[in-house]
Amino acid sequence: MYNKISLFVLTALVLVVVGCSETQKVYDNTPLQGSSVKFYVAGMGCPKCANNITLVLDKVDGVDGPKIDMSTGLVTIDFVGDSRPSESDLAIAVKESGFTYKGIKE
Amino acid sequence: MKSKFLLILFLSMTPFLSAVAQQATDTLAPTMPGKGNLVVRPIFNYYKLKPSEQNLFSGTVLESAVHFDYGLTGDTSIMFHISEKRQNEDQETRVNGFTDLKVTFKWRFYQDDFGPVDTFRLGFLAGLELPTGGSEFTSNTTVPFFGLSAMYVEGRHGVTSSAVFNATDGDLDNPVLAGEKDANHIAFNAAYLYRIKPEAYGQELVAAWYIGAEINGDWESDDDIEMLLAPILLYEAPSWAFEVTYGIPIYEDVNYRPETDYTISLGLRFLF
Repeated sequence: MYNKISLFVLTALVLVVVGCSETQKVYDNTPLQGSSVKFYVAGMGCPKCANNITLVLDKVDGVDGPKIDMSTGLVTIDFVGDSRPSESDLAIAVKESGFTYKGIKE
Repeated sequence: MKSKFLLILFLSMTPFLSAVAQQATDTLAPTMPGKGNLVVRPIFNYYKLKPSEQNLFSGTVLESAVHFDYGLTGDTSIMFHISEKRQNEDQETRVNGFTDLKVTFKWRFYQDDFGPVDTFRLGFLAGLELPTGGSEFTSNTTVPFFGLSAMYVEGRHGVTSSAVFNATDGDLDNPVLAGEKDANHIAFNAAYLYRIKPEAYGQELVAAWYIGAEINGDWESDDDIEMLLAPILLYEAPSWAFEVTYGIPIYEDVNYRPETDYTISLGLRFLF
C-alpha cells in the first residue's frame, strides 16, 4: 500500500515540476477603445469546447455576446456600458477558457 | 505471460504514442470546463455478461451515472462521479444500490494549440474512490488512482487516449466488472473520432456530428484482461451533446469475473 502511495506522489511531483515550467506572454493593460474588438483564438477542438469562451467572456465587464468563427479562430465581441476590457483581460479570459490567445486582429 | 505484459505496457503507453480529440465516451481527455464553468454528464451503461472459467455469473448490469466536472482554472478541474447500479443475475437475483463516490482532479500540463481547432494536449489525473456506496457495491476501502491522458485534434480528425491505474485494495461482495475485485486495475482506452458534419466550420458556432470507434481495455493484476471495440456516434451542440456506443469484445482472457458479451452506453453532456 505504501509503495502505491509513494509512486502516486512521485508521479504527481514530477508532473508539477514539468507543468510549472510554462511561461506566459504579457499583454497591454490599458482599456481598449471603440465599440467592438476582434481577436484570434487557437485550439477550439469542438463546438462545446469553443462555447467555454462565450461563458467565460460573458463574465468580463463591458463584454457582450461573443461571436466565434471556428474556421478562422476569430472571436468578435461588442462592448456595452462604460467599462472596457484591456487586451490582458481578453488574454486571461481565453486562457481561463482553456485555449490560446493569439492577439487582436489588426 | 511475457507477451501479455508487453501488450499491456504498449497499451498503457498509448497516451505517449498516439497522444492524440474530441472527447469519446470512455476515454478520458485532457479537456476541462473553463474556469467557473460546469459540465454535467449523465450516462447509462448497460453490460451483458456471460460466465467465465471461475465466475459463473450470467446476467446484466445497468449503471446510471452522473459526472460533475467543474473548471477551477483554465487547466484544472475537479470531477465528481456518482452512480447507481442494478445487477441482475439471469433475471432471478437482483441487487441495486449506489456505488462508491469518485473524486478526480484533472490537470492539463501541456498544451500546443496550433490552429483554430487544432490542438495537442497532455493531462494528468488523480483521485480517490471513497467507500460511500451501498453494502453490495462498496469496496469498503479508499482507492487512490492516477493516470495520464492525451488528445490530438487536427481538422476533422481527433484521437484521444488515456491510461488510469487504480490501486485497488478491497473487493465487492459480487465483483462482476473490471476494477471490482481485490486486484490492481489499469483501464486503458484509445479513441478516434471523425467529424462528418459540418465539413468546415463557418462564422456561426454550430453543432457537429462525429463517428468513430473506441478501444476500451481493462487489465487486472490477477491477470484478467479484456479489450472491447466500441463504435461511437456523437452529436455535439455548443451547450449540450449526445453520445451512443456499442461495445463488443475483441480480446478476452478473463477468469475471475464474468466475460463481457456486449455493452451499450447512452450519454448526454451539458455545459453551464
